[in-house]
Amino acid sequence: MRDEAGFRAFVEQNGATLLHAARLLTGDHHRGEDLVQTALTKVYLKWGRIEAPLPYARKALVTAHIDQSRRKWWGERPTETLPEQPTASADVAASDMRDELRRMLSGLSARERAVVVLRYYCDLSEQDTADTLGIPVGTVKSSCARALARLRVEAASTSGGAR
Amino acid sequence: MSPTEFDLRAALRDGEGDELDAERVVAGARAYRARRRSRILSTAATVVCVAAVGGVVAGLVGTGGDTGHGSGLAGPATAPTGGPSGANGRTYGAGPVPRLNQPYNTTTLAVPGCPAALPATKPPAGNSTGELLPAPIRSFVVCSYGSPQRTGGSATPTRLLVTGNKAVALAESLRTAATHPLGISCPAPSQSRTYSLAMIGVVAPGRTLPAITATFTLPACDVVVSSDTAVRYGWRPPPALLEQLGAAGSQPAQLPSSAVTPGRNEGSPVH
Repeated sequence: MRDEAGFRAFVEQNGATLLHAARLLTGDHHRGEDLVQTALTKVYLKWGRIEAPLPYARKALVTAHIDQSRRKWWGERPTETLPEQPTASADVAASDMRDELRRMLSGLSARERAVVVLRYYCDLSEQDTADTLGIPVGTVKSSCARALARLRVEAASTSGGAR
Repeated sequence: MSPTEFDLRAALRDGEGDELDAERVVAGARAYRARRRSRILSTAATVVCVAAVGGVVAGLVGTGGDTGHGSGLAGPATAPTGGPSGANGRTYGAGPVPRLNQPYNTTTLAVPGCPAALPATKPPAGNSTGELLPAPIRSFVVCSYGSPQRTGGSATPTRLLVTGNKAVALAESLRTAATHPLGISCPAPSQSRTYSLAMIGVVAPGRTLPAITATFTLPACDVVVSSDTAVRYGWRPPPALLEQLGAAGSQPAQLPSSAVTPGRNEGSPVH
């Protein structure tokens, strides 16, 4: 690799954002680190041949995430009932709404989660999100709407259960 | 709780700020690249090895395959010669041959051709201790020239490929033939036809020994076989060879001189 210094600078500049996005996608601290390492390795191997490293890194990130979620041994499946549903004794009111929202992300499918992260964390437009995921803009819109609806339903049921 | 987009953005941004160790990322990427290169190299090496082995196998099969010379050889059948014609006891038709004990495949084997006429060997005079078969034989190509009286000695020879146990028996009969004239009285020929054979031993694919010639009349008795280096007496053609010749139409199958009527056979048995 000719411009390794450039790659280092890129990682130092965008690594934190990519790492957080990876943690949001996976819902797990360590798996997020693994995911960002996988994505940045792909960037490293292509460095010097890609014109826009950050979009490429984002695309590598979500692609790797969706690929991993498709593998059976990950055993990751969106469920209607979240496995970590807080009990009534665990006072929802005491929990932070932001933590709750992030936890609810794990109830979404991999693609829905990617859409949400790209749209609301990376602040990409629908078109850029569609380009990153390689899906039509309409699919981005529908996935986003469906994801938000599910989050709202989950949030409503959680707050309802807490009452 | 009904989260707004603002809440969602805030929730997603909460907790960010962990820096990524660039050195660790680069080290991981380097390790991955090294592993990938190693994998590619090993795969390429495997492919090259497989290709090499395949090439060798294909080459071996190709040397045992039918190159077109003598492709008409279908077991004991008459076929035009594929080797040099009229050579005098030299090696003939450097074409590939099957291994001994290898199943006889008429469509894939190419064998040395037969000279157009019986080679004229020049054996040493008198007793000979030279070797008729100086090397282990894998198979024989037997060229039968039929009856010179009938064909004038120039007929298209019948070519037989003798392999396996038949080749072993033929080689053994040649090796056990006497090194000196037996001096026995032979019965009167039962047929007027005289048969001439040129036996070309194949020692390896493409390598043959000088032709060994024999001329006899049935019933065979005290047959002389000779090459350029040796001469033997009292050769008894193996019954299997006579049967093969008979099946090929070269001559009727008939037992050699051991079946001669005692009253007319005044000599002692050859062996």
